[in-house]
Amino acid sequence: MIGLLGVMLGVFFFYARSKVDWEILQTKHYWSANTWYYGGYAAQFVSTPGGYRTLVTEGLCNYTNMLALGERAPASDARHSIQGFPGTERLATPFLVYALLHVPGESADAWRAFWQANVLLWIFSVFLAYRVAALFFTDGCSPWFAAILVALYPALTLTFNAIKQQPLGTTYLLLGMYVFEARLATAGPALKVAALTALMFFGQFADGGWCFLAAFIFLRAWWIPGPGKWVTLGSLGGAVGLSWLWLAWLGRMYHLPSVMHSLGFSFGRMLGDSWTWLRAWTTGADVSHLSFLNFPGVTFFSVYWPLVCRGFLSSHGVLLVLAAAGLYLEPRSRMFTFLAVPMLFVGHIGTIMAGWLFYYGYLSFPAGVMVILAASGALGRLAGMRALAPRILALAVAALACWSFTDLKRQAGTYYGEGPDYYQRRIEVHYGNESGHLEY
Amino acid sequence: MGTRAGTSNIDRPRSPFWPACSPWPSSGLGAAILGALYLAGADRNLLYLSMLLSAAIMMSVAFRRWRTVLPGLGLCAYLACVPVSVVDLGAPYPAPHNRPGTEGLWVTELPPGEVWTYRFPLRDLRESGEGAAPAGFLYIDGRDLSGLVVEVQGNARTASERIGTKNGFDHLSIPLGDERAAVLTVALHGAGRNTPRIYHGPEVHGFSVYGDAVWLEFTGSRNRIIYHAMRGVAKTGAH
Repeated sequence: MIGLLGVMLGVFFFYARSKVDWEILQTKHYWSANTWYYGGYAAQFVSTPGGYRTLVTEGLCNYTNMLALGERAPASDARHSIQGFPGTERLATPFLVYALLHVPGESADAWRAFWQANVLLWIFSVFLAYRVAALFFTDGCSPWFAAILVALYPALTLTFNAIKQQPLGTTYLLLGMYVFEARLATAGPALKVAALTALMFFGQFADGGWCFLAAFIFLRAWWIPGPGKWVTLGSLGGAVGLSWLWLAWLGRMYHLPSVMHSLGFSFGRMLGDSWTWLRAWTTGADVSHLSFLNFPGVTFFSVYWPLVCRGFLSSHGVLLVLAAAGLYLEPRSRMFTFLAVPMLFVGHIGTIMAGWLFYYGYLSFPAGVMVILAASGALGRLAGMRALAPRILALAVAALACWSFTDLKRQAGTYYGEGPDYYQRRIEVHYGNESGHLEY
Repeated sequence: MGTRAGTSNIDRPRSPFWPACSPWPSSGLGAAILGALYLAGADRNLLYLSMLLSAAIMMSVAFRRWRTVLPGLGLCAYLACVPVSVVDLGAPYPAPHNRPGTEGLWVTELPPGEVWTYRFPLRDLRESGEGAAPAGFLYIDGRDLSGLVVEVQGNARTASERIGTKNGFDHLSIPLGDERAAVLTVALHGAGRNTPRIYHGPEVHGFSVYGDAVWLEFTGSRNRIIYHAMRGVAKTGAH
């Protein structure tokens, strides 16, 4: 517990209180003058009490959509509509910030509330990681290791000053895992369907949270013995269907924008194309003019998946070694280790839908959670041994895993797909004749 | 009123006045409260109420005691009843998508007969701590930059062969060589048939806006130093 408190204080004072908005930095011209524009540099800026603030284009709707949530009139009379790409899929962020603005005095600076929401999200993620680990591992140490590793996880520590709340989907996954394991695993089918419908419905606004959670519960069900497995799978299917209907009803009423619609994406078409690709490939025919999982030719296997795996390995090396050790040390960690690869695929489904050849670190967070839980189980088993050597080994390896997360410039390089060494230089930015300058 | 082993303190009853609750009645109570607010006209936003309802159901399932469920439901009711003021930003500035002909990006024409001047104070460059002098570049983003004449310290630099593309617009990079003046002056003016347009990319610092995508970068082995400057405008012949 002392270790967790120390880590959280360190993260708060060194990372959360810094003014760096890493995503804006990533998108600025001085990181990558020749190739990159992603909406941070130059699109728009707004006035805040502390000065002007540039915005990532995708993030602006997280502010403006608060106006739509604050409407009291029915849909037909609403003055503000939900907008943005993604707008509907990230509506949980304006919902959270709008809720925070109800605290007296908060509405004076809504932009500040985004930072507060990010800090709360970080604390909530740490709490949930502890609770989820405690549900699976009976030793007293594993939950603390899980909480410490999540407290330092780059998807959270790099986004304290962001307005996009990229890790929200994975925090939602942790919430859903906790609710499912603690409350629903042994519940009757009616309660399962009702609760999962609510979870899936809200999760459709939580940056992919519903998708991560549905995938986890689907995969998790295969470890449930007896008929409970089929009840869970049936309840999940029913809940996903009902939540889609619920959102479709609201979508028609409020003209909610959809990323899938904007991209012209269809799961049916992608699966059909991929099936055609597979048939051609198995017969040895030319597949260069076909597409597999939305990528042309063999790009998925030759470029995309290696890119995702490289990015994941570069941030999770120590944890993966621990998770592999957990296969022998702690049987209860095995499920999480086995789920890491499918959750890595599910996490990155957004870029697959878009056909983008890019590695986004936060999309690896669902798989990261699996590896963290598996590694925590292994660490907890080692730390719980009576002999001194394994306990020292557990602390040393945990410290190494934590240390690997602490270089934010290195993590930012991995997180934004440019490579771990990309942002290592010290940056000075000078503004005309102003005497002060910024330094990163 | 037994509790499971491993149940957290928040779930443990402290008095018989706060019995355990099933998720059904608490979810029903949440739906009833929000439904009543809808029918009473306090909030007719079904999207927002749906999100609150799903949150209320999740709380009803996650919390096992009325003493934890009721404040949660009360919070949902409060959020549904009490609106807060959110400032409408209007169109953030610049609003690139509102301007026809810019293809989604804000660019500003450099009119014929005008010279735009940027003065970059390089006073900190020598203190960068690098052994060798860092390589410096002048970068400009915009459209139709082939019609742009760039002068660095009064010396015209040919621009057209240094133009690349960057996400759909022209990207000009000019090496600065050994320019180490205390103040480096860059002047831009148009030439030729195409009127150059400079990308308006706001670099902001406090309440100052460095709007034009015209900047310097000096990159060494350990440091990268960036300079922005504000635009000065003069008519041709006056500069």
